[in-house]
Amino acid sequence: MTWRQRPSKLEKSRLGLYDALVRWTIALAVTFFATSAHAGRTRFGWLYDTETVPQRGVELETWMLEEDHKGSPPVDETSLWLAPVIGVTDQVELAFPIEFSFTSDATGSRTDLDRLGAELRWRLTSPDPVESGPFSALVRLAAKRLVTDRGAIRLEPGLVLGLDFWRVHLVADIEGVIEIPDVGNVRSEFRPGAGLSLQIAGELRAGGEFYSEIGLFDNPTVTWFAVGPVVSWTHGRVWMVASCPIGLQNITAAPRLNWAVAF
Amino acid sequence: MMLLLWAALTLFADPGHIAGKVTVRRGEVAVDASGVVVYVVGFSEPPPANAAEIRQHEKRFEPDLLPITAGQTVSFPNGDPFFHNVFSLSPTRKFDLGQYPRGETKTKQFPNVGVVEVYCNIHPEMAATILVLPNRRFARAAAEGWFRIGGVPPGRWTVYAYSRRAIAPVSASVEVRSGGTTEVQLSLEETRVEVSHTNKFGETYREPGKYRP
Repeated sequence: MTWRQRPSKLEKSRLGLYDALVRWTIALAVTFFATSAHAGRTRFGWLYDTETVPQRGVELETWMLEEDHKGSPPVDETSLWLAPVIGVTDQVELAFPIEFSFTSDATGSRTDLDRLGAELRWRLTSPDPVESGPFSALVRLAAKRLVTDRGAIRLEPGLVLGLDFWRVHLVADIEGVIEIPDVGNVRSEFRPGAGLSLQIAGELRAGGEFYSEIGLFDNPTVTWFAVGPVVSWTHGRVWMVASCPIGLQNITAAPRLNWAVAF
Repeated sequence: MMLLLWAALTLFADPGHIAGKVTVRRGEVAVDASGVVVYVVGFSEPPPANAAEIRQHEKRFEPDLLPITAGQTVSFPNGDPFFHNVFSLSPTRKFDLGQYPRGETKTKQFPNVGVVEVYCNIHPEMAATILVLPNRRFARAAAEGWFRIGGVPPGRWTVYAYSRRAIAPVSASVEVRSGGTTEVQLSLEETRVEVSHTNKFGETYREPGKYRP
């Protein structure tokens, strides 16, 4: 007579892992293929996109971004961006961001409430892809107050161009930053980027993005470039984006997570 | 050559008519057929220039079944003294018109043939169907079920009767002769009052009054 051996702890843990994987696979499949009202509002981590909130709709948008080992001597930055975004019309939305940052370098670390302000995003083409055709465009202007420099103002103009064909969404994003301090020189940055997002299944998309921050004139800002993969997903009233660009110059990585809940 | 000849004959031949009656039953009982649209499929026509209309009135879409031609625009005026949000998740035409108050009208074009289910994201009881058809040869049946469709080009076509409360439309094949009237009888069974649906986020609507004192 042979006795069947009881599963060992390792086998039990493998069985548990297998069960968990099956459950998660089913749950993810159900979730990814569920219906949602709109496509991913932003399909990129660092790049702006061309979609806007429908009229009188509201989204609570959150960004978490890291800039690891930026510049020399290296600085680590983690930033948090929070904003309600309001659909003024079907093509114009207004955001009221509050920005926090944690900075760490050889001399120590600090956490700041950096900026607060308002941001207007105006989609120049119809928000309906059937009516707008494959091309879309959005202009953006943010005006922010620097909490640590109360006499200063920061302006962020931007232009986003989008192209949709088959399952592909392409974006070219040209952003600028102009900081006019109370005392001292104007600081300005040029932030070009481009990305591709491919619809994988339902509202799950994957692709890649290139993003850069270039200091202009005699600017102490560190110039950096990064490129990497991006995944975006919309489910019902939630959309989220995970991006992990790897540094090409002056930065090791710039991972970023954006998400929003619509009401 | 034969194809060109056939095309020329079809183009210049006098159109015919399709007339008949739709019988609508709910169980054993014959009911009002005014909620039925009869349409012809098999040929295409350009859409009319004017927009069709679905009005929001007393928390209802009026009409709740609208036949249009592919490429036509539909306007959605809000006649209620409160906000509505018109949206569709139908693959034929997904859209979200946002929230808008009384007196405002939003429009949407429907380029592709198919069925579009339209709802309000605020009021779950509001539901309508837009039938986007390939041509302008459609008619709404009278309460007794009689209908007449004019201007049908000669040929062999399929006639459908569609009701929002039937599981599927019924059809019949017809031969339309130049200048003649083809008669057809159709019978529909209505088996449902209204189909349950989700809001624009794919969620179940809140129960009315549940979140109010």
